[in-house]
Amino acid sequence: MKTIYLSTILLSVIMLFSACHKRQELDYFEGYENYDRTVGVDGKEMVFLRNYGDDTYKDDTILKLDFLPGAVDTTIIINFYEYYNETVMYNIYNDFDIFPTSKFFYILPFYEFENNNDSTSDYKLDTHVSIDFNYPVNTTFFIDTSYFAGLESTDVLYRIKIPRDGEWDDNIWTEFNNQGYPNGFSKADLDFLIDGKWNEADGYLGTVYPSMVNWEEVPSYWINTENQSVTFSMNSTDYMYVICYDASKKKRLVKH
Amino acid sequence: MTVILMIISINTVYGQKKKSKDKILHFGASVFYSKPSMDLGEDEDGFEFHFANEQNETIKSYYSWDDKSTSKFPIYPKVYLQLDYGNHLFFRFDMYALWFSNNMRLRNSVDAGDFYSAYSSSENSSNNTDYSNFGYNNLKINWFFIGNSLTAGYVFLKTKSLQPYVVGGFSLMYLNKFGSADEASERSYRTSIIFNSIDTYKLITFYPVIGMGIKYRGVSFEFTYQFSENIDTGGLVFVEDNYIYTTNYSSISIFNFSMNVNLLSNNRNKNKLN
Repeated sequence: MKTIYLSTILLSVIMLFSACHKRQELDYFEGYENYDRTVGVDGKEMVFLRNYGDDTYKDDTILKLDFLPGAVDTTIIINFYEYYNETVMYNIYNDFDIFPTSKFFYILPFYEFENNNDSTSDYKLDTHVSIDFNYPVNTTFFIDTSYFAGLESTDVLYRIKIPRDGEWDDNIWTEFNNQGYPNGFSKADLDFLIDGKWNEADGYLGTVYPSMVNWEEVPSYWINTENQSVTFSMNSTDYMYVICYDASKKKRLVKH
Repeated sequence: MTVILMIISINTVYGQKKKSKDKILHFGASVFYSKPSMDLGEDEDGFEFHFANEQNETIKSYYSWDDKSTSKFPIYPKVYLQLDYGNHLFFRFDMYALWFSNNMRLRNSVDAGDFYSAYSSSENSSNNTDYSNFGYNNLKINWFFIGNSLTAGYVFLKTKSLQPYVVGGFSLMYLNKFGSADEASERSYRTSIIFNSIDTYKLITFYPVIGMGIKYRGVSFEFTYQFSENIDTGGLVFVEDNYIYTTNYSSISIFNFSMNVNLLSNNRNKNKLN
């Protein structure tokens, strides 16, 4: 009797063991490539996502960059930034009837290197990495409709030059965070470029008067009011962009 | 029920005088305390991800654990069959379960303050102030193993009530479940990508086992140690814009302290005589 009982127990152990043998399958997501901001000579479509949501590849896109094969000569990491200073823009509103419908945005190429989080590193990281793309990069920027009222077809896409190292008597500084990684351009330098106090003719802070001397309309772009985006070609990393309602162009009525 | 079975066992078998060639088969149950300690691979083999989000987040493997292992109640179950062969020698086959969590440390390119302010304002977590849910610089990993051991033991001091013994053998562990803890679910897409790279632990791992213990009739207390270096299948992980073949784990060592109780016992020689 005991032998039968023990045999049953042994059989149960073996069955339990067999049942547990199969490993639970993981529910992996696929497609890191869609979420990777590294691009090489093979090109790729790069998609930046907003922070809210669940990092899923769906409707929260900020920026699409379509790099054709050969557009860049080596592997680079693209950082993307948005910037907006209400105080600086105040003078632009008053003097030039320009009303932004997006933040300023720009990309900042970044070469990864060893020990980049080492504060004792001798690498010079704080200069603007300027890259001319071999082929235009088709760019689509989606505005944040939770922050701005929304695009209209009469809005204007402007670009503002980001000078190369020494090009306008000085260098725009790249800030780094506590981890040793790029954290966008110096906000003061961006302000001076936006309000024209740093320009090609006068140099860095060569004038104290705000102007739109650095602003120019992007030669060709397409505003899509349905998905609240603007599409244009980016030829280099030397510009920041902003979408505005421009009253001086009288493209639509506005009450002050 | 356990106590009744134990009393029956002790009365029926241990009340008898044991002969030198007796073969007694025991079915027993154990509870054991375990503290696994896992070592990771070399740092240069680590993965690296450049996520295209607003924080321009770069995640690198750090290759260390915040803590060896954690479990709310690190006591685990085991059942076994043990054959006593004479007064000194015994053989034991057991099955056990072992589960624990640990935190894999990561390097994050974003400053903690920026990271938390960005994600704590997210729609999904507007009411959530527990920043650990976003996995800033660590990922909590859940492990669940089913294990089998086959060990042989030698008992000393056969005339004494308290009998020390040594055991040795081998163990096989089956990685039954492996995944992220719920705490990281706020960043499930990112988390799953990282897990995809660290899921290189072998499905079945082999461990030599050594240990020692002391027993009194049907009850024994035992220390065992099992160790293995051959635990990683190696796999493709994403490093510097390429998938490379590498390994994530170098070794695991497990200390166990168990209390074993023989619940049912059967004298095989006696049955033959009957």
